[in-house]
Amino acid sequence: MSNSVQCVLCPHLCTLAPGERGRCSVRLNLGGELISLVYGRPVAVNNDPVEKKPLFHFMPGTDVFSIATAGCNLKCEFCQNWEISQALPEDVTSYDMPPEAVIENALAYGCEAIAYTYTEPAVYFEYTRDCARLAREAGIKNILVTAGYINRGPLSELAEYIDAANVDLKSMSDAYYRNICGGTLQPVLDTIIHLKESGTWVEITNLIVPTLNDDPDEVDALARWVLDNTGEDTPLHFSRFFPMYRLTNLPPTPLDTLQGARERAMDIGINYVYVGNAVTPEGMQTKCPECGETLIARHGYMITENNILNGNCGNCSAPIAGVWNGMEEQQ
Amino acid sequence: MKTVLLTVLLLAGLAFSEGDEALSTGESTYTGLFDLIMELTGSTDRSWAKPIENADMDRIIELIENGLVSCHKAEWYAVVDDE
Ligand code: SF4
Repeated sequence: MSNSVQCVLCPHLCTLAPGERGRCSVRLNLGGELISLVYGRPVAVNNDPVEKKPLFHFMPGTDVFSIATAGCNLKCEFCQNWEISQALPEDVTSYDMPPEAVIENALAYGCEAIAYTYTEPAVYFEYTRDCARLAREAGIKNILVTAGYINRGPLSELAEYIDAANVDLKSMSDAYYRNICGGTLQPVLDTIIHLKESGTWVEITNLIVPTLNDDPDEVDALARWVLDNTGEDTPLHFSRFFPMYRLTNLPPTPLDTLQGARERAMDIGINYVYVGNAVTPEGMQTKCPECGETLIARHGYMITENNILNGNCGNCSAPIAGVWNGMEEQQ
Repeated sequence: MKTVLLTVLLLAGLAFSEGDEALSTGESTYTGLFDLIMELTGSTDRSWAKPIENADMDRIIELIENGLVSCHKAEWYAVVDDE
């Protein structure tokens, strides 16, 4: 025996000799056993509005206890959280916060949900799963904000406890995933479908990066895939890129590009399309797909108007897809 | 053989992941399982991904002893048998 191990948590399938760490940097072969270096050691702990995840159709206006450990299995050149996602766990200061303490803190701050976010919750799988299990027992919801690069077995185990997810669909191009992100496309698509099938409320985010994935044809392909595979009621967020990490040579995404993407996706048939990381007149509003009434108006992450009544449009009573506060409605 | 161990683990994973529903899908379950195993084991080239690197084990052990990183047994892995 070589004391090597193969991690099957994500599609990278790292085979690790003793002393080697996986591509995510947080799983290490210690003497023939695979260990997690980040269990109970979050490096970011915040109380965020759920809109920041972004989730616009899941308990709007509520606070979410948000945690992240170091590490990610991708290496996106535009990463907005690269200081922690690309860091080695031993190089960043972490809190000592076992799952029980996460739940206690969430309750103490009056949070109705816990979000596993900022970096990649798939790579701190055991911590995410144990927190989520305890949260479920305590009546707290669980939110996964993920790039979706995880194998099906572990995803199924996790999905059992996950109420809502925002999955980052970075592109519809496998070459983009390989060249810019260090991953592949298909597992991400599989994750979105699997989460949807498992009853998780799913919203999708696409970061539009100038010159790399802003081609209208690619926007169309992404919107069509969402329509065909998760349905017209899946909220789609087009997010604005800002120069960051290894892509400081590119400009921020022009607002026209984001607005154009939103209009194209709505023309293709997606009912709820938003613009994120930017202030645009219509991009933050939820409108009724039947009568056009503004249902939820937002200013930044603040809700300034909410006309959803019992999960229905306050004007024409059409059902609005989502999980609305305390009403548990999902179409 | 490494592939055998991985296959067993994936079998367990798939059975866990799909529960009773998978058992009732008959032939397609086996087709899906075969595809999954082939997909996962078929290509080992990850030149486009982040590299696998050696850790500074002296430092890691020291940090574990001081409680600054965790030493929590991971799940979802297989022991590789090179024989
Ligand atoms: S989770 Fe980490 S160690 Fe496991 S296969 Fe993915 S990158 Fe490799």
